[in-house]
Amino acid sequence: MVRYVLDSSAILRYLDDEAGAARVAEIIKSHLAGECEAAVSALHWGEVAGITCKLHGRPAMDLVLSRLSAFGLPVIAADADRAVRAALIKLKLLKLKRDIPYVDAFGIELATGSRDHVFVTADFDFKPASRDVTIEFLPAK
Amino acid sequence: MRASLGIKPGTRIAVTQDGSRIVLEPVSEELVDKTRGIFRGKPSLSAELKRQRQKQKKDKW
Repeated sequence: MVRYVLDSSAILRYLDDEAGAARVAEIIKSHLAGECEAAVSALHWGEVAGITCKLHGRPAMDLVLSRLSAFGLPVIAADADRAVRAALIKLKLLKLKRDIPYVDAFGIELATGSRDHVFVTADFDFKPASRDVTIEFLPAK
Repeated sequence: MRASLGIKPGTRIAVTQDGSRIVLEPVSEELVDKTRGIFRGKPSLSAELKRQRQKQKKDKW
């Protein structure tokens, strides 16, 4: 079964109804129907929480997190092994002259290991990572 | 009420707070569509993420 890893940019596009929101909604619906699995890294989950709270306040953050939780999206915790693998991904991309935030390396890490895993993002800085991971880029506009 | 809301055995329920009310909504495709664009027309979360990313890029390893 395909596993989609949604990063914070994908989830925020969905909440804002910006480019790619329809595709994210489609993935969530497929997940609800049991046709695929959609997951989120705990670090990206926290980022969605923080940015929503900063811009729209705590009640809005609680509402959004409750809704996303109700959709049954697994939030994958960062453990020691994942943290090291994420660090290695970041360093590998650095060698390709592409620096990504460490938090994003956790998202990429979740999508490694199988071509059935798809990292979904609106951030084109991930392009070099597409050698190792299947990435679905949401449209820029 | 269950029938009119499409609630069947096993239907997930989203629990949210609206002021002093606790809101229970069946999880459905309709709720996914309702959540899409929940902040439409308000300051962009995506733009804020971009701003944060620019700051994080300065944290060189």
